[in-house]
Amino acid sequence: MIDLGLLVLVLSAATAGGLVCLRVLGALPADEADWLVEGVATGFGVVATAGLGLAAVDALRPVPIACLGVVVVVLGRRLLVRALRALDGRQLGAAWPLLLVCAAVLVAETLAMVAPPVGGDQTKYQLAYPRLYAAAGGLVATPWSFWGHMQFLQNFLFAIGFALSDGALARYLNGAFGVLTALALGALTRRHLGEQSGPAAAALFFTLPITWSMMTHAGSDMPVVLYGCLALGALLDWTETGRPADVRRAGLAAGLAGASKVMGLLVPALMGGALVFLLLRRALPLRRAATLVAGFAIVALLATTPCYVRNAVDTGNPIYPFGFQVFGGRHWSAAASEYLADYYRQYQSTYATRRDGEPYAGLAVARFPWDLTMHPESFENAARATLDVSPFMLAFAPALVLVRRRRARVLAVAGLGFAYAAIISTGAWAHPRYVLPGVALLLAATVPAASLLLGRRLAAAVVVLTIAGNLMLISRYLGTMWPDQVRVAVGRLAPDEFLRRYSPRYAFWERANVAVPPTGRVLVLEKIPHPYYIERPFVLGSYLEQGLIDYRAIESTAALAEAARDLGVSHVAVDLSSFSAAGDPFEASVGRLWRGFISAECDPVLREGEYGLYALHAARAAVPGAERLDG
Amino acid sequence: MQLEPNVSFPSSIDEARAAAPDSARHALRLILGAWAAIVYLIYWLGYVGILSTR
Repeated sequence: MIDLGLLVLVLSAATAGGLVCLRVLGALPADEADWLVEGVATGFGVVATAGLGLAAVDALRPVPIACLGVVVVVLGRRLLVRALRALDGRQLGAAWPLLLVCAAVLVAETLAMVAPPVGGDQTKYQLAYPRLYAAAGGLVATPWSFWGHMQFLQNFLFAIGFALSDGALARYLNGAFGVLTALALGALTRRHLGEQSGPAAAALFFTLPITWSMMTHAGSDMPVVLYGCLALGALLDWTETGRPADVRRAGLAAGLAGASKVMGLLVPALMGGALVFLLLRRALPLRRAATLVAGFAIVALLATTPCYVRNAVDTGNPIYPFGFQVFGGRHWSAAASEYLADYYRQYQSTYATRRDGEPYAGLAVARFPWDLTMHPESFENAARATLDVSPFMLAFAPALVLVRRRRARVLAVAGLGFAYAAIISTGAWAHPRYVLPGVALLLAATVPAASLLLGRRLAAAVVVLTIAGNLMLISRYLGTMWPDQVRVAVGRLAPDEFLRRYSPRYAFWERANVAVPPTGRVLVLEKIPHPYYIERPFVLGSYLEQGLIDYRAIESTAALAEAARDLGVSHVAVDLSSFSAAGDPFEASVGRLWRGFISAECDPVLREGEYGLYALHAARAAVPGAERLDG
Repeated sequence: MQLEPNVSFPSSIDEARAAAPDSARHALRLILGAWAAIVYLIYWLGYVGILSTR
């Protein structure tokens, strides 16, 4: 309950800050009823940027955060009140049953968020590093893992959450992105594609199994969907009103999408391209057109850059570790980039066998929309329902040819959604989460198309059946971990006991945290470490995710021991299964090195499942130079 | 007995030209509707394990 109270405070401060930001930029929406969602979403960007700033000056602590919160609430209180007053429940009309269904789903999701995080990338990096920063009160140098520089907008929002509470607040904030995205998609659809289609589009998206999965597992893809929807909505607003404010708001939202992850940079690129296209078609005077483009680009650039600047300062590469050939980057190498690319190819190949296929090459990617709908389990280690996007989009996308009313807008939304998904799936990685911004836009565009094809009543019945199907698939989650998550939420199951049941890593670290003294430092030897549960100072020694310990240059166990001692390591935690891993010659050689290192240079301390803790021989006390190299 | 004019059958070449787009639109709707039904069917048959879509 305390975390829910804190969530309300953070949302209030974020909304006030977001509305102030929009006013300062002269980018508020024309209709005050749209202010709230725009304000919260922009406010999350403002809070995250403030979080990065506070972390950079080692002030990521409750008092400075509270002071900032008070300042923005004071500055934005009148705007906040106006935004709240503009809400009109009567506008819901016949959509209230859909709202009730979504509210029930949200309650179920919120209960799942209360329990500690298990599974997904959240314990690897999405929540692990924000929690580390909050514990340290500022940024922590993590040259031993590139995931420390995969920290973008939402991660610094999570860091603010962790600084205020080590409970569920950060996970609630992640969930808030899902709610905002459904509202933004519904508003985009209502305003530009069809008055009646908005609630259906919002409910179809909100009840998708993949949306459930992303709201209950912290990640970076939902914010891209949110800001992509807001950017396109603002751009379409401008085509109606001609207000430069709408173009600036489009730039701001597109910039925040770019600030959410590297792939999100495609949003400002596409929206900027769409703006230029529209300006050329309208043949506006050059000066006026240039002013609009500059307004879009400058605001987008300001919103996008903070996290990339941080990466450039820390590593020399704004998109570290990607683009190594162009930007270079500390503690990384061309060989490391190549090995990482090989790993991702292996990963894609492994799961593509679930559809009896291979990673897409060339025109084979045309099959992706079918596989996305019928085989979402063939893209990562997940059950089918986890990444399911429902059959609605694939079934009704061809019906877009029937659309006559608001044709240009419907096709623009569908076209930009398709372009996003096509570019990501051909140029980066055809994966359900990565193309979700495009899927959401296509889903919205197909709602009026389905209505035209089937007639309003039958289309409404199909929407209801699709939502019922979505809920049925979501209920599959409820049979596994969810009952225990609810028990944690109502206090009938201790969080530690919950973690012991579902996380072998936690079961190990619970014991290892006690065995390692507070002054010790643990070297974690694991290919893909998840450091969320480590409570002692640590460094990660993966051969995949870091270049600080260069296994291509270390040829003996003594050399590895020396490298570890130079990092101030006292203990070593090992994934014992890695000793026999031999996916490729390099991996096999590292497995042998680790086995020899443990045998020759360490003494066993404890073993739990597949993990072992060892004490490094003759470990020195922590070296001052390495003080900031760990958590 | 006087026959009622058959509104669904063109009585001249001009009417046939006008009717053609209607029938084409109708066929298009049928195809699109069939596609949507097939997608839903395969999707759910795949889930319940009756049909493999590999």
